Amino acid sequence: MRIAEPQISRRGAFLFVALFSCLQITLGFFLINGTGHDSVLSAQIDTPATYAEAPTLDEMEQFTLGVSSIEPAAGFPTDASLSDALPQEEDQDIINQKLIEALTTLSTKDSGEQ
Amino acid sequence: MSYYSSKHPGLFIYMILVSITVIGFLFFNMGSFFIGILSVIWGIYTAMRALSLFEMSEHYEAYASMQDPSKNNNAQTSSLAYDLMNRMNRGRNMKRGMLALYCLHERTILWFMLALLYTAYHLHTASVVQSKAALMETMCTLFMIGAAFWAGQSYAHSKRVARALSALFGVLFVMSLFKLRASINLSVLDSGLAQSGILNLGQPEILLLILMLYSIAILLFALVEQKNSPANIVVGLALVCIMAACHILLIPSTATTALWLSGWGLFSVFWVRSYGTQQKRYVLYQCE
Repeated sequence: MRIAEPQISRRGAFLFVALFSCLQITLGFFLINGTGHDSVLSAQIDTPATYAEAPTLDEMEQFTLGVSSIEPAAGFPTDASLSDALPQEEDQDIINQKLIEALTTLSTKDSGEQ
Repeated sequence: MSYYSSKHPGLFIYMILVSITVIGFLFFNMGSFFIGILSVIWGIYTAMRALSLFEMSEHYEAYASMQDPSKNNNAQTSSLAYDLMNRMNRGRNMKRGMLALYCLHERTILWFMLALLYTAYHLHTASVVQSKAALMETMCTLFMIGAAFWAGQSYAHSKRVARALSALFGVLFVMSLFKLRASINLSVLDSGLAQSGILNLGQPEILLLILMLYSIAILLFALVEQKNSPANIVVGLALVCIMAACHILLIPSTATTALWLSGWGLFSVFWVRSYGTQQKRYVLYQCE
């Protein structure tokens, strides 16, 4: 066992330990600051574990009633406007007729080219 | 934390830090915030300890040359006796501290290289399934174990300190074993060692196995080379075997960190003591 080691190797070992401690301090600060976690804290998310009891039917009904009673903001489509926008039965017949016409014209064009 | 003012600078802080860390990991649910705080404290402590050793390594020769109590050295002091006593105490502390530099030996640095290799490979394999925060937590805990192992070596050259450290680490290690005995993975015992992870090549456990085999080889080499402290070597070998068995049998959790920290800390004492110098005492007999 030797006490007097070469100074250069000892300085290298000191450098190694210094780097080791610096890395440890840096990682510790990262952990303290919360780096690496998701942006939303887990406490802010309502996971199933946060519900102590399942909601009853009355509560669910009240919830749906509450949602339906909310009036949409200006610019959002209402139920009436959505039903107007959807194709009616009469419109559907016209669409079908136009489709058939388009298909027949296409088939006649193909037969003429051949 | 300087050898100018203390025999074993930072020893008390080290023992408190080890106790807090082990008990924290063992009995409390340590979150990433507390692991971060502990990691910062361990990092600062390691840097301070390295600085105290660096101070002695760089200034001991210059200091030793001033030990001659000449008139020039004592010209500025009013009390010659006090000055002499103070300088003698400092010199004694510095001589003690020279033994602490064994913790920077090549065999220890090689142990750290292997440990870093294990850490890097462990993180590489775990990065697929774990988040970045979990990986940083793992890295911090492994660094804490490494720091405890290194700092333990720097103190254990003294016989009295080695006894105190082995008592502290022994109590913490036994406490960890008793606390964790409930989490033994019985499936490993049922399926046998052949199917356990430690014998599968390509996993980080194989690097840990190399680390443990390296520790055993160092102790066996000390046994062959010196033959002056076989008890320390035998206890060290037994300790490595117990830790290897714990690694296979215990289900990994944050509480097992306490076991590794106390186990490697205890092992550091036997690691250093197995290479301890044999003190020769010469007694002068005066014959009438």
